Amino acid sequence: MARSRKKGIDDKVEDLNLVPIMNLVVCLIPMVLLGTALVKVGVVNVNPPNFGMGKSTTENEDEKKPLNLTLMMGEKALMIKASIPLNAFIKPTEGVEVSESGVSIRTVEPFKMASVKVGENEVVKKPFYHYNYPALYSLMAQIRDGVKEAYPKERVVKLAVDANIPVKHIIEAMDAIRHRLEADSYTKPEDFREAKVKYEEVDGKRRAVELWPLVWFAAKAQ
Amino acid sequence: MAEKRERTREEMIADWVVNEKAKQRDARKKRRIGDEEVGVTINSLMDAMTIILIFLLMNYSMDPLRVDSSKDLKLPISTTELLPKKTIALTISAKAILLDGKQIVEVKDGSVSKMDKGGDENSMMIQPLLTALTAASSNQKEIDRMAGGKFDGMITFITHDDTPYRLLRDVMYTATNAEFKKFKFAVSKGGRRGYHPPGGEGEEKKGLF
Repeated sequence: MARSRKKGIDDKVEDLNLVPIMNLVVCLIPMVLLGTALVKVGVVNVNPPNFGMGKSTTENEDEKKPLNLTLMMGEKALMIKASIPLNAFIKPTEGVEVSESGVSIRTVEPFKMASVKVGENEVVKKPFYHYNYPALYSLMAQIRDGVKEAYPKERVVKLAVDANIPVKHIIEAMDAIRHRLEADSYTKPEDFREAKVKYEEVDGKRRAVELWPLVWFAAKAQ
Repeated sequence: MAEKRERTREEMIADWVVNEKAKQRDARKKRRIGDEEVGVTINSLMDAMTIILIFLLMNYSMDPLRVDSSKDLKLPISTTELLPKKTIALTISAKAILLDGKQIVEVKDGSVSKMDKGGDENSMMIQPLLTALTAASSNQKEIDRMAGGKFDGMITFITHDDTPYRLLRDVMYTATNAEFKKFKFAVSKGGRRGYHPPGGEGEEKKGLF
């Protein structure tokens, strides 16, 4: 008997048509790429000013006078003050004036409004204050070494900023004094920029050595 | 001789038949090859695209803080290694103060208008911002209470790098009055230590990788 073959049965296995899925993927990838942030975002922790709402929360386990280390960012200089005379352990250098009332670090160059290109044909004026961050770090390291016996757990620096100083310079100053670097002082900006953070072993863990990591903003703008 | 000629003729006919069949077979083969569709193997490309897409979607969704940089909102550069957390985010750009993408107060030349300060230019309280932040903190307290936690009073400031301290101080004062007590500043990571001059020396590293 002749075997009948059913019509319509297709024995051939067809490959999956991936072209529509590929179309979808090729459209989605540029969309997600454009939506993804191109700038890596980090955060810096700060403490708000004490606007007279309660007692100061600066850590001070002892009853003795707190250090009250204050960094003042002015338009022409940085000034460092504390409740103890700093001239006992800080040596004056070029651009740095030391007195009983505090330490003053002159800016490297005067304030300027520079034209910065922000788009293809767009230029805006931006303010720039060129502070001497290597000198700031060096002095803060000397202060840390000078007060480590009297104030071993002190980590707070108060920041009193002039009203016109832009936020970017505040962040630069905080970065300059947050961690201890390989050397205790720097004079050249390029050496300071390339310097690596010093690390120590604490309870089996590697941790960056802190200098003045906690920042409290002062209540009033200068 | 005659037999030899007949065999030869038969052979010739046989040869001719074989040749004709071969020719027809070749012609059929050529036609089959010409008609057959040649598919493109895109399986490998599909694998690669799918993996890239999943990676990008993961990257996109896991970022707790997304900042769209523009000429009015350029983050300050920092050496910090700390990563952002999911908090209430307040944006201070060159043109406005925004909360959750919604404009609260207009900013002009690094300050807010006297009207927004209750008519007193020297006041540190920005009234519309206080209203918005108070609502936001109440909302967050309710969310944290329902989740069984406690309101931590944390807020992240996404600040344009040229914002003067005067405006920042007023915003911080207003935020402390709205029960926020822990502040974070969003910055652009990967910067180098020290002064960043105009023109970009020491600028942050950009890119996805």
